[in-house]
Amino acid sequence: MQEIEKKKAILKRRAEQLAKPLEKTDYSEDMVEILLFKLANEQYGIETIYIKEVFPFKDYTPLPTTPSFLYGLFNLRRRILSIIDLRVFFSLHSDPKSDYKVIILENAEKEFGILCEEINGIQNIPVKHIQPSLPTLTGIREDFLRGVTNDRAVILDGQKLLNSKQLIVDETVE
Amino acid sequence: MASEEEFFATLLETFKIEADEHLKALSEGILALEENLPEEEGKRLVEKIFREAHSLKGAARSVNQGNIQEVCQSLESVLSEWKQGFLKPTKAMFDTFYATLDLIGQAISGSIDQTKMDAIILKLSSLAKNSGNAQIAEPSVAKEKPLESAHPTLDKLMQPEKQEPPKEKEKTIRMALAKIDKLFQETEEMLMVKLVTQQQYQDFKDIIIDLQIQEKESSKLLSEVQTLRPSLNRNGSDIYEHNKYKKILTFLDFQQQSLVALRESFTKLLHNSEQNVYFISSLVDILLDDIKKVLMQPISSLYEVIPRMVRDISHELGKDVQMEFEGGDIELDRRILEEIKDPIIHLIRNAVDHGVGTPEERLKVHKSPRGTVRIAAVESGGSNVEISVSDDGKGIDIEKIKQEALKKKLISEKEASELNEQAAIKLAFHSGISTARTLTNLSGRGLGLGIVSEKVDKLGGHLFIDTVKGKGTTFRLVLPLTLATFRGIHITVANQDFILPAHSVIRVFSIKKGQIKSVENRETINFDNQAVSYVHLANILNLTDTRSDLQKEQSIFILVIQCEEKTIALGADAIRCEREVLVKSLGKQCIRVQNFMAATILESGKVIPILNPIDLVRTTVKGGVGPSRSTILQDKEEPNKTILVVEDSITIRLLLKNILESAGYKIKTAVDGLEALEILQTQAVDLLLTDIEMPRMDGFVLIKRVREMPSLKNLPIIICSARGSQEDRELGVELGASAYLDKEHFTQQTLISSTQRLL
Repeated sequence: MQEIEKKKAILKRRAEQLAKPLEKTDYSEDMVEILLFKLANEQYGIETIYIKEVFPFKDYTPLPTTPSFLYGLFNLRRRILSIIDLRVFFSLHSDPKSDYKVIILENAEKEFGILCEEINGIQNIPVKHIQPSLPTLTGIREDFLRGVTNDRAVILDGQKLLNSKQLIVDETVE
Repeated sequence: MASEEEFFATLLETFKIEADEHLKALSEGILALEENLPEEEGKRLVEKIFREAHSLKGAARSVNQGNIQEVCQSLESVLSEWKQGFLKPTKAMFDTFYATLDLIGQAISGSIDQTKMDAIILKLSSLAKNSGNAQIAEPSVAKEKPLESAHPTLDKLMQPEKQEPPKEKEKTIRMALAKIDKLFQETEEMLMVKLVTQQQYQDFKDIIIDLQIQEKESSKLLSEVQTLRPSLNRNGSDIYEHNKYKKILTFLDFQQQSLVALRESFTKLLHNSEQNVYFISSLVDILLDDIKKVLMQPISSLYEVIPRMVRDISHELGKDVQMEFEGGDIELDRRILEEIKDPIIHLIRNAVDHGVGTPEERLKVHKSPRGTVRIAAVESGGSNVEISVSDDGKGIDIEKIKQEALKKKLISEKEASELNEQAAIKLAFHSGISTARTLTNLSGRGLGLGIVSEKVDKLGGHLFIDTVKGKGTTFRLVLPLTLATFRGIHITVANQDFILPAHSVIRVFSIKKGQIKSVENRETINFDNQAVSYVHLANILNLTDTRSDLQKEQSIFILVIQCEEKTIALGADAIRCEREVLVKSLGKQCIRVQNFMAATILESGKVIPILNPIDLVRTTVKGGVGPSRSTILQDKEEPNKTILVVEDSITIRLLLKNILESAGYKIKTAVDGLEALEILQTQAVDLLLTDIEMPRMDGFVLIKRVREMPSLKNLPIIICSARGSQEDRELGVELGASAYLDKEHFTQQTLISSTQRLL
């Protein structure tokens, strides 16, 4: 009996919560939708307009003699896409994991996957809550930064990542 | 309703296509007129291009392209003068015409330079006025074609047709290239369906072979158990044991039968699957062939840009060059055409720039002052086309190339003296070698020929150069008509899969580590009695072999590849198979990747990179590869190879032993499979020669067991048996035998040659 009462209480609480109007969502503000994910145990985010899809990382094929940020190639519905390891690109410390997720970034011209350790959901964040960079965020990361949120998630500039020439492999053997 | 803007945008696109056609016709006509045609023909041509200019003007007006309309108007006036014979054509006039066409071309593609436009209109009208017949400078409407239609096709209809009976023509439609390309890609994916069914067929086959072996084992066991019965009876065992025995026998019998039944159902499946393979393969092949035909275009589309280019270059260099074309109607895969467009243009520039001399130079050597550059296409061998670009100039100066190569230290003094003609010409393909004394913006940078050669290689074609000093040079490109389905050799290097394009591989074989010799710090192997540079792919690709030593076989697989006139031997750990592969791009993130040209996706969905032979050869020749992972080898005599002869008949055993010993091999013998297996597990053997029918363990089982042992996976095996049936032969090969000798027919010679081939 007690169990049932307990469950009822939980359900009631939930119902009350759901019945409340959305908190503090002021639609007069400029909002951006951000996908949050973890890289080298830090919180990162990218605007969802640059994200095509997210899925658990399975098979991939490494390409020898390529820059180390190119984690490998994988098969997305019979097309071959590159997976990029931003941890290497940003020179972050990384422990190998067995269950990565892949975020597919996409714009009109380009499409590739980035490796991440965890997906932490989607959030609407008012643009004004994104403050410019912190002085500690230096190095190559700085160039791809959109800003830092109140919760100290590092928002990356999807457009800049997609258009980056540094992330393209173009080598010749003379 | 489609907005007016949208409608206008579509209209503009249509105009661009139409305008390009008029422009092309104008350009061709003017080029031809510059050739001093017979009067009658010339007149007709002027009339024709006058009409083209007029139609272009009409079309431009319909889409409010005032600028183009104006220029066309002026051009029309000059042409009208010419048509009526008031104008004597001069070189300056032709130059103005070409400039006009260029400007219209630019305007069509959307960039309008008003000052240039005005200048050209002025120039054109001055041409018209200079004719001294000023009053016609203003074009008279009366002289023009009756209808100034804004409708271009109507205009064409109004024009008198040259060929009287309207010929029954094949109906054609215009279609966006993107649509066809997409269709083609989707069709190409059907290849996967074919490959999947083939794989399935193979899987069934493997299962059946497995079942066959189990069947044999089980029936042997059954007969052995049956022989137990008398002994059981003799020992006077009790009824209980007898029942147990009977139970076992019944069970074995039942199992034997179900194995047979299982094999039969799989055989049925195999037949179905085989039918599917045939059916699907032929469907997919036909579909692919047909869609490839859709992508075919006549070579003449390549020729279009050439006359104008040749004219411009030769004028700039003060040369007089005429172009000759042949075989423009041969159709070629559009993708190949696109790839070879630049190389062909380069070769033609090269011919005009370096091949043909100036009129003075030519007169000095008693040639006509006018040079000829000829481009000809001929179908050769059914599925190839040979495109040749030739000039009647001075030929390639081989000595000069040698000198240049010496200076750049590409070859040594000694090598230079030994080089034959073809090899020396090929030096011109090296970066940095050019015989042009001065650098022009056309060629002479010494890069071009290398690119030509690379493109041709990439398409799976061949490039030949014939040159006769003082007579001229011919570059011959032999290319496939369609991009054949790509065939690749699936290999394994350090546990990773790769595909090597089959067309660049000239030989595959395996060698012992001991056969790699070091020459001047470079590893080489013996190939057709020549030392060929050897490098293991793991070294080129910087892969570390994580396998255990036991797994690292003593023998290495060698793939001899040839491209850009160089031959090298690549080492691999295993060769899986040769297969048809669908080439896929590496994606936009990988524009050009060292050592890889593309990738493919297997039936399983796995991505496998396709190696780029050109890069591999370059890396190897450059010597930029670290020390080999194989041990440094001494140049010592090979020890005698050991052959294990497994044969139950003592006569044949001795016979085989004698023959092989006389050929210099060390021989071990075994009387049946079981004994052979014991020897193989404990002693080093280089080749196994086995009979099939033997007591205790027969040859088939022996081979299967041997192949299951990782260390013996690649041991060469020869079957020597009297059971010459086709099925036995196939079963043996399926199980992994390397050769099959028929006991009744084999000779000393065939035995020795097969062992030599495998060792």
